[in-house]
Parts: sequence; C-alpha cells; structure tokens
Amino acid sequence: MLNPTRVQDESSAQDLSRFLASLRDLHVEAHVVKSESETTETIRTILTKVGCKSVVVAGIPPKLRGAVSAAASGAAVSFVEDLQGRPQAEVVAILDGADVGITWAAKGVAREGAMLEVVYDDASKLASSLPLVHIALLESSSILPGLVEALPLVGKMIKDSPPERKPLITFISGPSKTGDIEMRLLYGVHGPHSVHAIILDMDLTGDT
Amino acid sequence: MTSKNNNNRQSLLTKLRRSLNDRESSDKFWNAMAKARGNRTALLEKEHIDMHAIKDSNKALKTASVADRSLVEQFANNVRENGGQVFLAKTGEEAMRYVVELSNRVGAKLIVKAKSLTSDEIEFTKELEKVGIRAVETDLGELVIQVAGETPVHLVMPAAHKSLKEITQLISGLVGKELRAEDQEILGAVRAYLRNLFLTADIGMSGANIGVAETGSIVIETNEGNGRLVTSLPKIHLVIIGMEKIVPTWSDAAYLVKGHSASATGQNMTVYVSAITKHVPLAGSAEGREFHVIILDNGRSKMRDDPWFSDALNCIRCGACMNVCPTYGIAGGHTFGYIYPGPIGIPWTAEVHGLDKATFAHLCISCGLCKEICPVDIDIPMMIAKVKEEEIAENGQLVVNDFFMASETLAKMASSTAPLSNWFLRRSATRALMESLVGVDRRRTLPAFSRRRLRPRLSSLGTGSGATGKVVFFPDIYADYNEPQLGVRAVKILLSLGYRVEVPDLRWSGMPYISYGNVAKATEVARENLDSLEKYLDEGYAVVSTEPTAVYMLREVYPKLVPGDLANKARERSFPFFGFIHERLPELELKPSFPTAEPIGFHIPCHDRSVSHGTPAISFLRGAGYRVQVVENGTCCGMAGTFGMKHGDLGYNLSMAVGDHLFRLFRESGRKLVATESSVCSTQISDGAGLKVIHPLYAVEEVAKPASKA
Repeated sequence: MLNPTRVQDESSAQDLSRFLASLRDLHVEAHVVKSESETTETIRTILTKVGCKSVVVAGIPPKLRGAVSAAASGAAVSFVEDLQGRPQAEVVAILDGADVGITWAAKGVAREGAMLEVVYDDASKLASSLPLVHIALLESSSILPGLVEALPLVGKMIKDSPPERKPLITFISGPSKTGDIEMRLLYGVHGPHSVHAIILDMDLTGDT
Repeated sequence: MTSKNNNNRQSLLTKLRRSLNDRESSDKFWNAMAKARGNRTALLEKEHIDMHAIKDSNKALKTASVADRSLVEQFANNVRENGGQVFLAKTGEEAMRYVVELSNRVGAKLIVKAKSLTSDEIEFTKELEKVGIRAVETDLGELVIQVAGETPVHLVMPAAHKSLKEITQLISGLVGKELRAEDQEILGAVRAYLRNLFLTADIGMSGANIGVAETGSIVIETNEGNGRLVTSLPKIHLVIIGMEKIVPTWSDAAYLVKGHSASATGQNMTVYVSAITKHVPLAGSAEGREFHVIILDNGRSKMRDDPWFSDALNCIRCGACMNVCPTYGIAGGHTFGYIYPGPIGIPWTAEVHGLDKATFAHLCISCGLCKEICPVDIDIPMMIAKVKEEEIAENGQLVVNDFFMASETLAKMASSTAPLSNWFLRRSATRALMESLVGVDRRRTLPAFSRRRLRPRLSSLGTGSGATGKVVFFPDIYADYNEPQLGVRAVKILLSLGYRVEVPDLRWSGMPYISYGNVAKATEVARENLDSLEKYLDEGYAVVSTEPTAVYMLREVYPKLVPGDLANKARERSFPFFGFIHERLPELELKPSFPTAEPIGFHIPCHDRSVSHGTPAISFLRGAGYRVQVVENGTCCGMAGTFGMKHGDLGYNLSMAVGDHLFRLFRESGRKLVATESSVCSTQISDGAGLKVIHPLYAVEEVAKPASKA
C-alpha cells in the first residue's frame, strides 16, 4: 500500500539530520528519543551529571509532566505554570536558584541549528535564561528547514494573536557566549553554559 | 582657518602618531580585524552564501524602507495598540529628557543596559549620571569600556583593543576583588556581579536591530544572554531605536537577520534572536510592567532627505566595513572614530554629531573595500569623499593634496621635459626640496616619465580591422606618460585578436579628486571623459584599460557623479584588459619571459576587487605556463594611489604601516617575482618587500597571433 506521507518522511529525515549536524556545530548536545521512558532516562542522566538540586520547567505539554518529574528523582521541581499567582520575587528567586531549566521549543530550525521558544510570560523565558543548564524539548516533526521558512511563521504568530496576549518569541542557537576577551569564544556568560536538545521522535497525540 | 578647526586636525595627527608609535597595540588590533574578516569569509564559504545577490536585495529593501515615511507611524500605532508607549524624539536631548522623566516617575535608580550603539550616540549613561541615576552596561565589551571610561572602538566589538590583562584589571576594580588574569575567572566574576544587578534593576534598556512595522515588534540579536535578562526581569523595558531601522514586514526582517550576523561575526545567527512586541507579564502579573519605545531622529530625517547621505541610513551595523578598512586596522577606533568608528562612522558622525567631529575622514585612503564588503552595498567611499569636501571647504586643502590632484598637468610637464625631468627627480636635492615645499616623501620611489607617449608609438601599428569588435583603449596616466610600452603591448594583443583600437584624447580618470575631497572636480573630469566617450559608445565600442583604477572609476564612481544613461552605458561597456580578452585567451600563444619553475606571486589591487578580483589576469599568467600564488591578507597594500607618496604620518608612514602586514606575507611566501596590474601597488610592494614587481603583460615575452580560423 502506498504511504502518502513517504515524501514528507524523507524530507523530515533530512531536516532532522541537518538539525543534528547544526546543533553539534553549535555545541548543543542533542538526544533523539523515541518514547516517554527514554525521555525520562535522558533527562535523568543529564540532571545527575550536573548534580542538579533544583529544576524549573516551563511550557512543556501536560502529557510530558510525568516524564519530567520522574527524571528529577531527588531534585526540587517547579513547573512555572504552577507558580502563577505567587509573589514575583519568590518566583524569580526560584528561577534564579535553579540549576537546570527545562523548556519547550515550538519549532526546530535545521539549517541554523536554532530552537524556537514561544512564551507569553517572562517567567517562562527566564527558565531558559537564568539557569546554567538548559534542556529544550521539541518534536522532530516540528523541525523546519531554515530561518527563511521560520521567520514568516513568527510574523504570523504575532499577527494572529490579540493585543493583550502577544507572544514573546526567541530563536535560541546554542549556549550563551562572548568573544569580547581577545576574541576567544567563551561559553556561559549570562545565559546557560550548556544546552541540551531532546528531540522527541514519537507520536505525542493520543493516549500512551 | 579658525584655530578651533586647526585643533581638530592637529588632534587627529597627534592620535595617529600615537597609534603609529604603539606598534604592539596596533598589531594586536590589526590581527583582531584580520580574524573578524576570516570568520566572515569562512561562513560565506561554508554556507555557500552569495553575498553579491544578498547585497542587491538588502539594498533595495533598506532603501525602500528608509524612504517610506509611513513606516514610523505604522510601527508606533501598532506598539500603542499592543499596550506599549511610543515617543518620537527629534534629538538626543529630547530622548534623554523622556528617559529621565520616566525614571523619576517610577523612582528608578538603577538601569541595566544591553548593548546599544544608538544609546552611546546620545550619551545615555552620561546624561543619567548627571541626575544620579546609574546605568550599567551588561554586554561584556561595553562594560569593559564603561569601566575604562572610553568610547567604543568598534561597532560590534567595542573593547577589541583591550588585552586580557587590562580587562582583568578593570573587572577586578569593578567587583572589588583581585582576580586572576584567566578567562573563566573573569567570566564568573562578571556573571555573578551582573546577575545581582539584573535582579534588582528598575529599568532594562535595550536597542533594537530591526523594527517591524506590521506588528509593532522589535528584533534584538544578542549572544551573551544579557539581552534576555535586561528585557524580562525589570518592570520597565525601555527601547531606543533609530527611525531608519524600521522595515515593513517580517519577510523583510528575515533578509536582514540572515545577512547581519553572517557579515558581522561569521555566524548564521546570533545565539538569541528575540521578537518582542510588548512587555509580557512576569509570573502572571502585569502590574507596573511597561513597554516604552523611543524612536530616535537626531539627524536621521535630514539624512533621509539628503541625496548624498541617505545611503548611510541603510547601515545594519554589522561592522564589516571596519573589519576590512586598512587604516582603521592600524589607527584603531579611537583615532578613526568619535562615537561611531570606522568607515561608516564618517558620514554618521558628520551628520549626527557634526562635521567638526568627523575630521578623521582624512584617514580614509579611498581603497573602496568598505563598499565591497558591505552587505547592503552602501557607497561609503562616496559619502566619505563628500565629508572630506565639506571639511576642506571649512578648513582649507593641504598643499600636497593640491599637488597630486594636479597629476595630469604634472605628468604632461614631466613627460615633455624627459629625460631631464627624470634626472632631476632622481637627485636627492630635488627630493628633499619636494618634501619640504610640497610634501612628497623623499623615501618613496617615483615612476620615471617617457618623452614619447603612447599614441605616437601606436601609429605604425594601424587601427586594426575591427573584424571582432571595436575598443577604446584608455591608458590613464601610467600607460601613457610613464610606461607607454605597457600600452603598446596591450594594444598589440587587441589588434592581433582582430579588434579595431582607438586611443582618443581622454582626461585622466581623476581618482585623486575623490581621495582628496574634490567631488566637484571629479564630476568635471567624469563629465568630460563621458562626453568624449559618447560617440564611441554609441558606435558599439568597449572601453578597455590596463589600469584597475580607471575601470573602477568608470564602473563605480562616474555613474554616481554624472547619473544617467551615458554613465550607465560606459559602466556596462568598461573592462579591465585581462577581463576583456579572457574568453579569447585560448587563441593566444603565450611565451613566458621568466622561468616558470618557480611560482609567480600575485597581488589583487583594491580597485580590481569588485571588478574582476584578479581572476582573468591570473588565467593569463597560467596560460603562459606560470603557477600563480596569490598573496593576500584580505585588505589593501597601503599605497592607495598617491597617498603613499605623501610625506609624514598622513601619507608614507601610515601607508607603510598598512603595507608591513602584506610585505611580511610576501617575504614569507618566498616569491622572488610578483605580478600586479596596478602601477601604484607595484611601487608599494617593491619598495616595501624589496621584490621585483611587474605588470602581467611583462611576464610574457611573446604573444603569437591567434591561428586563423579554418
């Protein structure tokens, strides 16, 4: 039987491998996972390696909350969505004190190795900005070929949203860096020192 | 000449002398620029980016955006509709008044700043300091120069001149702890120090790389993560954006984002490219959170309406022009700059800060590399020539510049009195006199003059059959008054290829008028030459020259000086010699004059870079059996026409300081023989590297007539 999505699968595979190559060039550690349990395992390994005591999580689909919590084992986990309504100073302190931030990337951008963050609250943005380690989760099916395809989408997202709820959109390509000391490339300035991309190559719709 | 303006020129010379004396700093800065050039080239090659295609579309987009007066209003309306506040500031003072009022209203005492050259332009920090408000730079380079009390030395790398040791000293002072001179130690100290300020600041101030009118959004491109914290933690997000930065749509923004970091740092994108449309809530609360956008004029609307200077508004602040500028690379951004440094800094400074701040325009040697590297194809050299013209109108022209702008007349005189003129020019007494009276450096080798010029030598050859086409040969000065034998060789080849060759009585191409700020005279000579060429162009003649600068003038400069169909036709029909015969090279039988066992070195003249990049000349040499080794550092040899003949720092000394970096490469290459098409680059490399330098036409002793076709 003919698979109508075969061409789509091939170009997706191309985008994925291009994306992985670009991430490698940008010093982003990439992991492709095919199940929830693999997701949990991968996150747990990272958290253990960095000696994580406190994690903040923002924007991930409710379906994956369990997988993330399970990975934390021992570390304090705060979901930014749950912190809404708490005093700002408290929320900021939690975000600032976290070792790791786990966030959702709406899209991947293959050619430039970028991940698209779409948030509506600065606390979510701080989850990927304040901690030294950033783990971004994204679906392999969301990977676009390049910036040229991605930027018009950004415009559309902004245009299609009401004035009171405009998205805050950021392309993130790698850990924070500077060349300001004798033009040497140094990582981990004010943003994360290391970035992990966990690419979910699995069907997130439906049950299981 | 008022004494105030004498001071500006004197101050420039003093700073230049200091830069030339501090060899260590100058070399370090030069190497930083070389590295920046290398990063850009590496990315263009890796990603197969065709910069020429991008230049044209970028230019069209930016020019249209700058001219569209409705964009500012559309942008402002959208910002307001989304809950933000907009202030259109006519001047820097107006902008700062708004900032102070805002700060007072919210009781702000601490402002954290992301990198914004626009805020530097209006002296943001200094103005706030006056009223007791502390504004702290959070970009590492800007923080370093803030602590040092200096202005930025480069658009993109504001502290490129600082060593690790100097940075350690400065940061140690800032954080109040003696730090080791070690990268991670510094980084850690800065991270900890600024983290506290991010968390407690009342206002976060950022610039914007792009403003998108259709959604009232700004785009900020950063690497360090400071921009993210500045725009999210503080209650107030304040943006200062130049009015020329606004483009209509997100598709337009895509082009600029793609081109900007590729050109600036050799990155596909900066680490963070943020699209901000409002100051979103923090932890669900929007209370007290405000978004303010100051749209700055400060001279920009005047530039927009100026036919010469509106081009400067197309700048996307990539800094590539200063990465390639040879004299900026020696002098550094404090000598070659005021607040905006480098080539693009010249028209910007003249227009927003004042002509008296733009005296550093005279450091430009008109190599044209800034325009060639600019991702928006901005005609920086032409604007610099206008700034020079304005500065000279106020403060007078230098005697030595007048001397060299009279080169055509001087060449006629020297030629008609040769060989006596040559004898005089060789005497050290003459050279000493020329140095003290006129300002021609006695150390510089000057070319000899020929009594018998080009045309008399061609009369025996005839004009040619014209079977394959018609050519006007344009010798300019060198192949007519100095080395007519070169012109003869070129014409012989053209005749053998079946062209009809005419050598009409043309003026010189007139480049020194541009170099020394006499745009009026340049326009005169352009008009005269174009008028003389008109009938030939109408009859289908091509214009061919052995002098790269002549082709450069016809292609790049004349169309700007005398806009219209005639100049456009001349541009399309002008060719460098080897470029013109390139396709027909296989027909020629070339016999080398020198042994081909050793490769021949090659230098690409700046004025040929945008024309043929040396490629056809190299093919010609290969056709004669030579292996060709191109020796380049990516920028000018330093001679810059007559500039390197001028006495002193703003001449020979600066010229040789630039040249040193190329001479070293040539010496290291081991090449004993070097070819280049430019008569003046030739002098520079032989004077500086002590090598034999010839025009490629002298590398072949015989060019056989093409075989007749069957």
